[in-house]
Amino acid sequence: MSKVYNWQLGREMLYPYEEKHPQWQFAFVFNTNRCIGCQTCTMACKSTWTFSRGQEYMWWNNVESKPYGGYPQNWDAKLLAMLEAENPRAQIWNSAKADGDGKPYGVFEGKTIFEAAEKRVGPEGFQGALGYLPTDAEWRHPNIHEDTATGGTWREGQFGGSTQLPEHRVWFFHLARICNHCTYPGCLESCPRQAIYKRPEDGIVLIDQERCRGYRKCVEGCPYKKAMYRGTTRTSEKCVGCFPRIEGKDDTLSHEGAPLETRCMSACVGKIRLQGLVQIGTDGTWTHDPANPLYFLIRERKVALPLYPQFGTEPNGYYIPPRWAPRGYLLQMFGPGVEHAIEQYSCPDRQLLAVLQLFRAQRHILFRYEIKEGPKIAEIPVTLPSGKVKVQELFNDTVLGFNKLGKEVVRITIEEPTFERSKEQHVNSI
Amino acid sequence: MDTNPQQWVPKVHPATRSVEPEDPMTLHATAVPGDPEVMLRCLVQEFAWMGWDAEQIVPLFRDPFYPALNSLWCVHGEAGIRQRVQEALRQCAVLNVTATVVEEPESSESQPELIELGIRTNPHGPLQEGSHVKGI
Repeated sequence: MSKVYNWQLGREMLYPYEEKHPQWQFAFVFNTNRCIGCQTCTMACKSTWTFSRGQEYMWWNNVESKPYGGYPQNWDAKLLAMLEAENPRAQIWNSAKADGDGKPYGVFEGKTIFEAAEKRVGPEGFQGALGYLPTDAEWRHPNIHEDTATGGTWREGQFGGSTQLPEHRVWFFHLARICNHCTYPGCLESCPRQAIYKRPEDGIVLIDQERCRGYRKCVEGCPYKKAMYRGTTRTSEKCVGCFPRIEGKDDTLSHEGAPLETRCMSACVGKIRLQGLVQIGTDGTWTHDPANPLYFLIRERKVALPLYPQFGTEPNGYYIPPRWAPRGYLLQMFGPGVEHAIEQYSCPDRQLLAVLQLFRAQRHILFRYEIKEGPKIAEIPVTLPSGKVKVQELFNDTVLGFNKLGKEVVRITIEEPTFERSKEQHVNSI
Repeated sequence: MDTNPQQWVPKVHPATRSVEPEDPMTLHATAVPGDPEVMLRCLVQEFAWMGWDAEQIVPLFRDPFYPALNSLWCVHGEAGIRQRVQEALRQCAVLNVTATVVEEPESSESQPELIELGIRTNPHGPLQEGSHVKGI
């Protein structure tokens, strides 16, 4: 076991391989406040990568309705319960120790999946990462209770009619998930054949299909359950981060070779997604680059937070938490940065509001943005979740996005003009 | 073999069995405390920030495609939703406060060339006058 630094936990942790980092890291921000659960991302991924025999149950991208939804069912609740059993009442954050970039959320004083597995010894030796193998039934429904057929009228006390649960009506939100292409992947750690690797150029985690023998240890070791077994090839498969697009090799969409967002990101109709690459130093720190929209949202403003950072894999998927969900639930899901993130998002300042316009604005990956300042158009008193009233100043700024080649690929004004087509027959009318 | 029906285990359809809380295979759910009014307000704000007004937002609640909004509509009804939406909009900003209407240019010089599309029923025959192939 080596000691590696996990900035999301604010401390060193144990990991079986020595600390090494890619030059660039695939990362993304999802705004859960905007997701309508339309599953367009899910189908975009499905129709690109997992439409073949043996992949029927595979959803590399899925959208689940929290708190009850999960693919596989109860994946997070199960692992959280296992961690709690290994380290009872000690899975806690010390947010008083929050300090700069190295410990932005404080220090996690509990055990990660790697640390909690230390005492677990099975017939095959030590378990590297605490995990479990979901059953076939748990994989069967991508979003049970919501996106499943309702067989009949639900009647209290009777099981077998509908899968609808009345508790859903209280509150819920949609959680879109793909592989987090973690800095310290649980799947990579668990593979007995060392068939899983993290690419040095973009940090995308891949399974070498030649080396994989389908032992399913990665399925067990990935805390987010994003490695999946394929019976027809007897190998495991996972999200490949649409790497040809990231490499800029999709000639039909970019002749100049600019990196493009993945299929699931490009397809998002709710404009909840922003994906890109962030530059990583040799010591694992993110290169200071506030002009990169992802760096700005994640590291500068801390408005987007990692999903279950306490698992310890340093996931590279980040979420703007839903403002209406109970804070205790969100704290468990996104860590102690929740209050700060929600306050920021509820009343975005000039710069943040401009950057939020970049979500799904272009399929080119945006490496840099610029803001052209416009006149003030409104002042609105906003009641923050904490009860404080803040005056939001609204400016008609224009945000510009640039791709890797430095070319301007998007330009959005806060107050967008509305175009109305004439009622007469239009050139493109049908 | 015992053929006495009295000795058989009675057949009970699974759907008619009573719930047994200790049965691990039975679906259970526990309500997690939360406030649906907050959810409603936040969702209305999200649409308002995209420049939607009450007349555009309320129909979304009727649509089962939007499960969060529609479940609230089922609980509060049309009038309740309309009142809550207006209340929420009063407390937040609609971002696109001004609509700039720009007419399509009507200049005949800049009209692109029309291309007629169609499928020939007889691949060797001429296109039928007055059929859909006449175009756009």
